[in-house]
Amino acid sequence: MECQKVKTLIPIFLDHELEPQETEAVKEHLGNCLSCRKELKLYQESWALLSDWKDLEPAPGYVSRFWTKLATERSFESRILEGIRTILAPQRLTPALATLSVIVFVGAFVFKQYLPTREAEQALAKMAPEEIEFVQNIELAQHIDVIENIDVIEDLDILENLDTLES
Amino acid sequence: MRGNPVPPLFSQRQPYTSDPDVILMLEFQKGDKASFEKLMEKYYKRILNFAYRFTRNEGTAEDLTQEVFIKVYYAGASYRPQAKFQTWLYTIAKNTCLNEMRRNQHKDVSLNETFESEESELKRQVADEKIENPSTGLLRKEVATEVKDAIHSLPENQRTAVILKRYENLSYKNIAKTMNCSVKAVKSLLNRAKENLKEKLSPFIDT
Repeated sequence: MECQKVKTLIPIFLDHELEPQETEAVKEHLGNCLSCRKELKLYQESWALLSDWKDLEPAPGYVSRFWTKLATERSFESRILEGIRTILAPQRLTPALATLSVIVFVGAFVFKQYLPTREAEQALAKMAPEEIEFVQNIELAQHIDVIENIDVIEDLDILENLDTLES
Repeated sequence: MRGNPVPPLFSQRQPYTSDPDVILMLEFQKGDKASFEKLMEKYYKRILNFAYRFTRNEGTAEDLTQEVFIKVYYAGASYRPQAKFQTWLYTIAKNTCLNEMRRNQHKDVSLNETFESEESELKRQVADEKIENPSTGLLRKEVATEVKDAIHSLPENQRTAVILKRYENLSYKNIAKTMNCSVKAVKSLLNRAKENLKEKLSPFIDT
């Protein structure tokens, strides 16, 4: 095994986490290579220096602090849950849902009324001025089917006033 | 019917029930708070030091440790042992620390990294080393600071792997489970981390 390869394996070799055959190959190489042994020593000693960062001791009373903190959090959490339960209670929820249903129904009804009017306005925009004047005199102006059959209605109007025309 | 697998035995469905800490957690799940306290007493210092080495802040470490155990407490109701208890606990600790680092990213580095008063360090660190003379003591303190700087300068995933290996003595396999990665990834992380540490700490090594 070459030095370059061994040097990449040294960190894991020191943790005894190499595959058995890799471990044997590294050991054999280290037995014959001073450079790699120096590299091994550097890794060992830098890793050993980490012991200089000593452990922290917990502040006394950490268990009672925990239970106190938990009680405070649960109190807050319980209040939130209680609020949600209150809002969703049947005696409040049913009227709220009923009101919402009415609003949705009325809104749908109004929109349904609005839509044909909008279509009629768009049809009027495409008509000639004399046709528009004629339509404006008819009570059925809001019905799109009437507007589309304007020729038939004009004929009917002539028929209704035929006596006057003949005289 | 043909093709239906035989249901596994209970011990096979829950392979970690031989772990005494898992047993304590399951007892807590049934309502035994004393079991929870036993777990807390066993792991509190280890989680505290994991958080301390990750954040390099004593006060933050205490808060994070409490937060970790609060999460464990609330997880009790739905706890299902999918790993060793220790692995699961360190996973919670790692994620809690990472979330804290993300929250503090916008703050000044000096505010985030530092508060370690000398007085609290002297009182709370385990004083098992004998300082032979003041100059040696000063040198050790400098080295300790350099070690802290070196570890804290590592990317988060390398830092996590180093702390779990060097200070918590977890195997590569358990580190992989804690970090939710492969053993191969852990080898790569520790390889790079150790190389970084060797470079940073080589001035303090006698050759």
